[in-house]
Amino acid sequence: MKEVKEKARYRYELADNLLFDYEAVEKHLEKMAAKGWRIDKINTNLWKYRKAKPAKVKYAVTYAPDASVFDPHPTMNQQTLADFCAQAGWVKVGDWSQAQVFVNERENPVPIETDEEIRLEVIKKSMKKSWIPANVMLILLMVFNAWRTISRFVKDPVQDLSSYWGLLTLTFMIVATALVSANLIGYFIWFKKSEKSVAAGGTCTSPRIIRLINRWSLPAAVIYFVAIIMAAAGEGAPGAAMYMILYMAGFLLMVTILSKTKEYLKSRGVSRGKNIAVFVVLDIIMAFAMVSALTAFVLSGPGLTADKDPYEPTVKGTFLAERTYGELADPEIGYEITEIKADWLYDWCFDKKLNEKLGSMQMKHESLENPHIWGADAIYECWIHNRDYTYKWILVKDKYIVEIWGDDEIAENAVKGGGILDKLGI
Amino acid sequence: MPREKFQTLTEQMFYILLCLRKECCGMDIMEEVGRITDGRVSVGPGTLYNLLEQFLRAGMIRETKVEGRKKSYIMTQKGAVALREECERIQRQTADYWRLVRGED
Repeated sequence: MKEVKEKARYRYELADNLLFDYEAVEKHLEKMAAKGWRIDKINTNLWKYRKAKPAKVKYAVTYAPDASVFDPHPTMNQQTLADFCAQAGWVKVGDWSQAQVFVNERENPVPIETDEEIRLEVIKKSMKKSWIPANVMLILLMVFNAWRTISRFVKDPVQDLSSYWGLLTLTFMIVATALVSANLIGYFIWFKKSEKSVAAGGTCTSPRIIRLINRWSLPAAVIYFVAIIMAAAGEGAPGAAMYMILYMAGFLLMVTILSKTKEYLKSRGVSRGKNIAVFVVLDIIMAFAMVSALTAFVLSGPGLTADKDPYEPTVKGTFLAERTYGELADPEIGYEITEIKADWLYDWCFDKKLNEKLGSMQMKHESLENPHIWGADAIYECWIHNRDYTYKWILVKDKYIVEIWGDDEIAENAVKGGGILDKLGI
Repeated sequence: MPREKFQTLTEQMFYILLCLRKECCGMDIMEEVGRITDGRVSVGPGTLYNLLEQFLRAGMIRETKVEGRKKSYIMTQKGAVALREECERIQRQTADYWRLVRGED
């Protein structure tokens, strides 16, 4: 749990426990109580502690599969469970989703769960209720986004390889998808291991690895996000950095509004079904509003990348690749010089440049004979539909790949006239 | 390999059913189990709550009285059969034990 605020009497923590990891919650709450902090209020995202006399007390987490975060009051089953627990000295201190948290001041209380097989069954039932479906949805969303990012990368790898912004975004999407998937996979592994252990007469196992991964996911995501914004701003795209900051702010605002609305409706005794309906409708409306606002920002704002004199070459590079691009006034052409610094990536990147795809259309090319006449190791003429209309020229010299485009005649003269590579400093 | 549900009873299942041979309030079962086993067996409230739910669904017990959230139960014929079969199984185990251990002596 990440501590975010401390006051004299209260203390808040961001809740980052896995719903099925009852052991971590119990240990953490006991540790906090020993330090003089008792859990006061449990919300889905934020846990509130109040100052108290340090004490050695027992905490226990059990599960009520029929409970929901949208219930205005505890269900009959939750209440009956709490009554049973009260009989053994366990006092309910809060719940989140299906997890029910109890405290016991007695010295050696009877544990709430004395049958590990039943415990595991109830956890399985509870996880099926909302945690697994929510995680599956999240994974699908992440996989879709990662797939889009990877597709863009595979289509034009140099773009991302030559930019820390691109590289960080690409790896972030992959790492984030892997981390979100790890939670669900971690649960199934934990469940299988626990099932085996319980069948052999043991207890449920500790999900140590997934607990550790989960604990570091949020700080890692925050660091990554800040790094991406800094990279975007540093690579001449302050608009994109601002876009990402606004996107994250909008997302956090949405989460806060949804959470507050849900809590308000609960306090007004609105039923679970109506609360869920309001939550979903509000979520959709806000998502549309946010996308519209961000689109308006992109269209009317400063643009994602800063305006620059086109005749001033733009250089972007990482330890893997470097790109220099811009326009020349004489001859009037556009150019891009790519240097692949990682040798093992050269063939793949070059192949992607030579076999570029524009939408569904495949670029064709033919190499020119005797390229040395024009000072290059190889020259390719590239076109889309008709060879009469050249799309671009690709010249290879040493470790550089130079692309040249412009008016057909001017570009051809620039290539075949010789001296263009010298002019570009190669 | 998890065992078939209620094909054999755990010690806690056994004593809960034993308590319910006569009508008993759910919450009193914890104390009753402790009493009849001299504290040797204790049933946790969460385990008890879930086992009662499962016994109800399996038709091994039935609700007799509901006073607010306080519910009372009694064992059904099906529950009684399961309890007796478990008892006979334990008896057979005990008999096997003594036969073999005495034989060795």
